[in-house]
Order: sequence, then structure tokens, then C-alpha cells
Amino acid sequence: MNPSTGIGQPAPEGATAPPTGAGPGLRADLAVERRGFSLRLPLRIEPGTTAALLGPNGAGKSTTVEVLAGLLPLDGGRIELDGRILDDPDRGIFVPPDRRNIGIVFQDYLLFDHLSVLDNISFGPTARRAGSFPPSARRSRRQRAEATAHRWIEALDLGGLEHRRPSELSGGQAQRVAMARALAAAPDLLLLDEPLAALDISTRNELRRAMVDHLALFDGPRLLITHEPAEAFLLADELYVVEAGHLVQRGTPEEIRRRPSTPYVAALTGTNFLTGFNRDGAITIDRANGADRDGVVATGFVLTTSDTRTGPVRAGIDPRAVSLHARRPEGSPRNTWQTEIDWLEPLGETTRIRLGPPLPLLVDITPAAAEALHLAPGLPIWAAVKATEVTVHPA
Amino acid sequence: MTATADTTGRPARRNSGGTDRRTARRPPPALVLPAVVAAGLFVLPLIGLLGRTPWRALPSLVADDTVTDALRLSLLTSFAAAAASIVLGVPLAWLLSRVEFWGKGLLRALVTLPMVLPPVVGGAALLFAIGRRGLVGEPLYEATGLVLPFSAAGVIVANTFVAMPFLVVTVEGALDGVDRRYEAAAASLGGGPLTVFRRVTLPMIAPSLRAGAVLAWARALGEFGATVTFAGNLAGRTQTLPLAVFVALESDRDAAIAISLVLVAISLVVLVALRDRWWTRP
Repeated sequence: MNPSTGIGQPAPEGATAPPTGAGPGLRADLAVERRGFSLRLPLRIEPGTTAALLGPNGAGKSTTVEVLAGLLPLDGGRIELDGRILDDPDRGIFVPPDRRNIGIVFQDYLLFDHLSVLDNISFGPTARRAGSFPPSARRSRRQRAEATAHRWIEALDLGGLEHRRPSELSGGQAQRVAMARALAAAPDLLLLDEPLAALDISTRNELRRAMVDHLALFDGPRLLITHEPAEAFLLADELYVVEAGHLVQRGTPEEIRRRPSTPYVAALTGTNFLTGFNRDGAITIDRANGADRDGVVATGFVLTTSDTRTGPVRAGIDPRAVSLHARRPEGSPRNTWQTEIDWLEPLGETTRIRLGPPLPLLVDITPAAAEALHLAPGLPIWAAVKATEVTVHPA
Repeated sequence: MTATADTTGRPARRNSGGTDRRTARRPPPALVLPAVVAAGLFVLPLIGLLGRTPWRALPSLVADDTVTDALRLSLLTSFAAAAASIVLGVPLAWLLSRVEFWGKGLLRALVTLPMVLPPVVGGAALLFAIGRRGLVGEPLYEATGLVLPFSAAGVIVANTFVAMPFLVVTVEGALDGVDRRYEAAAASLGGGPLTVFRRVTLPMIAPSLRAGAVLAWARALGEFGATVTFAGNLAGRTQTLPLAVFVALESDRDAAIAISLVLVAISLVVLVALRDRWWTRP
């Protein structure tokens, strides 16, 4: 590999830096040391796919944004985007923020309020091409930038708002302007930092669905930073769960839902995570369960599983695998018990329910099903889980 | 009347007369009395000036060559000093706000020094530095034949010296207050440092820049001590309005009043013209 690749002076506009042979997409190994905090995070994102970095406050999400954006240098590891090295302390390479070509949708959007919507969106195309045009071509440069901006205004359904100031926009409109502004700069990586966190719940649910289409407008690698599991699970092809600066688990949403590796991940993803003792397919659930802080399991509650090992186990139940019935369900080998609704919360695509005693579980059902069952807190109900849906790992 | 007495800070309902019931509360005399004295301090001198004005002779007094020359020079030099303060002071403010370097604290103190220093001392210091026999002035003279003291250019230098600190202090404060994440956002869009400064930082501090520029201009217009020391008092060349007033006070009191009124008028015109733009806070 050529050590000079990607050094502070990138190749002239239009030409791409010589590849290092590592291929397209984002390949990063982040290592940052700060007072009392260290971040270690490997990231691999292929073009056209979305990865989500999911974690609580203090997990290292903002630090990740800062090192990728070039606001904070790495202490170790490297960042490589489409074969171009952006940061590599070992080789003394550091590409400044304005030459990284990373589009960022910031948490509170950071739209320029002294500029119109159109000028915000054409900021990137204008700035990127600055310097490559002689002053005589300024006019055509500006026109070209505005043509680019107009394409994104159309793509994100912002027509009619071109001459508004960002302060005159609704939260959802501002979010789309931020998206258009980032995409109009033709970035090599799209970084979304809590893009829906500033919105109220109903707008958030609405935009979360629209985001699926918006993300598809960008064919490079995408990284979504979020603390909101619903967002990550809906939008991401792959999840990186981080806690205290370290990768706790990595996998597809399905893998993580089904096999949360720690109680923390289980709680974060809404998966039911229970500890107990398995004796030939009958798990006696412990009374106190780590992931379930506000509920206590009835003594001697037994879950049937298709896994017949014997010993202490961790059992996972996908909230979508629990079915609810008005009457006692008949048929196949399954766990059934009577319980009541503790609370329920509409999350847009699904309705999340928490069951009361004897086994406090999270359940996700469709809003239509919730409607049909007339679900409400305190309502007595039958719950059922197939034995094959109880995934078991040795504790 | 449906108005409700309201002491909670909520907007009170208005009665049919349109009076806001909140304003009915008397402001405390402990604040009002000193405020009235303060206001008197600003209003009384103006009244004194107007009371002694020879209104009938005023047109001919103002039309005097000495006065029109001084007026022209004052306008030229004060605006030139304000412009120089912007062109040089904004980058200096940026440096003080954004770049870490050795001796920054000392430099910041030196920049604000002219605000504290008697202007006469500043003028003398300028003379020692860039006068014809000065530290920098002598080599400058030998190389280019340029002599700053006792010229209109010298007046501008003296004015800029006393005026620029007002702009630098105002703008540096504004730069410190800018949310740096907006600059980061602009950089992520491909904006180089100069583009970011020009298209994001500068517009964000525009109100403070305007305020700083007006402060600097106002300070330059009233400049006396540094100007008289560094540029002298040559009628038609370096005699600005304040110097003309001072000279006239010795010989022709009516002329002094007339020139003073001209100064008051210019100042008011500029301040009122700018008032609606930024003087009033929302």
C-alpha cells in the first residue's frame, strides 16, 4: 500500500485517491482515549447498506461522530472510506473535516438560519466545487449547485419551501432539509446522528417510515447513530450495540433480537431476557431477573423449551413471538398462561405491551390486533409462546 | 372590566381601554430616582448647548471654510477608521478567539489598552513608533518617503488606534459565543476554513459586527487627544471637528457652539438611521 495515499492534500477534484486495495465502503477501527473514557469500535459498512450504532448515553456515540467527521483525531486504529485513508495516527495521516466528504445529518440539524432552504441545500455543491472553477465560471458554478439542490428538494418533497428560512420550518421539514443538505454534497458516507431525536413522537413515527425511502436515495454506506431501538431495528441492516465505549454485540436486527448476548442488549432491544434453570426442556424461571427491573416472576414459573440441555440458562423471547388471546388457546406444545396487561404503548408499526404477573414480558403486536382484542391496561388476557420460540443459551 | 390582576408574569388580559394591568404597578423609587439623575446627565448638556445657540447666525457660522473643512475631514477620517477597524480588527478578533498562541493574553491586554489609556499618551506613543523619527517610521520614511504624522492619513491612524479596540472586543465576544457546531456542519459540507468563515461565521456575528463598527466609528468621530498629539491641529489638513471646537472655544464661542451642534447632528443622524436595524432589541 502506498503510505502517501489520503494525506492532507487529496487528489484534485474529480479524481479519486488511489485505492489501497481494501475496497469500497467504510472500514474503520476506532480507538480513542479521553480522560477516563476509551472507545474501541470496529466498523465495516458496505455501500448501499445501513449500519446502526445503538447504545445509551455515554456509550461513545458522540465520540464516534466526532472522529468520523474529523473533529477529533484518532489515538489508534484507522478510518478508511472507499479505499481512502482519512485518519491513521500510526502513519501520521489526518484528513481535515472539509476534505472527508462525509455527509452528516446532525441531531438538531444545525441548519444555517441566515440562508434560505435553497441556499442551505446548495451550500455543499457550492463549497465542494469552490476553487476548481475560475471566477469567470462562478455564475455557472452557482447555477449548477442550485440545479443539484433542486433535484434534492424534489427528492425529499420540499418543493415550495425553497425560500423559507430554517426557523420557519416544522421539525419534520427541517429534518428533511438537513437530509437534503447532506446528500446534495454528494458524500461518500452518510452519517445520521440521532436524526429523529429532536422531533415529537407522532412526527418521529411518521418520519421513521419515510426515512426508509430517504436512506435508499443514497447508494453509499450509511451509519445511523441512535439510542432508539425502534429506529435502529427498522432502518438498519446491521446493528452495532455499544456500551461504555465497547462493542457489546454486532449482527442483523434479527440475530440481535433472537440472541441478545447480555441482559443489557436484551433490555435495549426490547427482547425478553430471562435467567433460570433448565431441566430437560422445562425452565424454572428465577424470581429476580436482571433485565426486568420492575417485575418479579412468580415462584416456580416454568417455561417449556425445545432445548433439552440441563443446567442454568439464559432464555430469550422475541416480543413478536408472544401471542395474546381473549380465551385460553388450544393446540400445539406451547406455553400458555393467564395474565393481564400492565401497560401498552403504540410505537407506530407495532404496539408494545407489557404483561403483568406471573411473567412480566414485553410483547409486540400489530395495532390492528391490539384494536381487535380491545387491549387496555388491567385487561385479563391469555398469553402463549411456542416452545421453539424460547431460545436458550447456557448461562 | 374583565381584566384580572396578575402578578404571576402571565400576560394579563386587557380591559376595554387597552391598558395592560401589569403596567399599573409603580416601579420602585430606589431605581427610578437614580435613573432620572442619569437621564438628566445626558439631556441637560444638550439643552445647555441648544439654549446658547445663536440660531440666526448659525447658517453663516456653519458655512465657514474652517468648519466645512473640519466636517469633511471628520467624516472622511472617522469612516476610514471604522473601515480600517473592520478590515484589520475582524481578523484580529478571530485570531484572539480561535487560535491558541503564546502571549495571547498579553496581546489581548494590549489591544484593549487604548480604551483605558489617555489618548494623548497613545498619540505620543504612536509618534515614537511611526513618527518620522520613530522606530518603524524612520525606516518607512527612508524607504518610501511616507510621513504619517501631521497628515490626514495620520488622523486616520490615530483614530483607528483608539477606535479599533471597541470593534475587536465586541467581535471577539461574538465569536466566542458562536456555536462551533455550525462551523463543523459547514466543514462537513466541504467548506474550507475561509469559506466557513465567510459564509457561516461572519453572517452569524453580523449584528455584533455592526454594533462594533458603529462603536468604533463613534469613537473615531469624537477622537481628540491622540489626533492632536500625533497629527497636530492644522486647519484644512488635520483639524477635525473636535479640534475645531477646542480652537473656537478660545476665540469665538458662537462658532464653537455651532460646530458642536454639527457634531451632535451627525451623531444623531447615524444612530437614529441604524436604530431600527439593530439598536432596538426584540
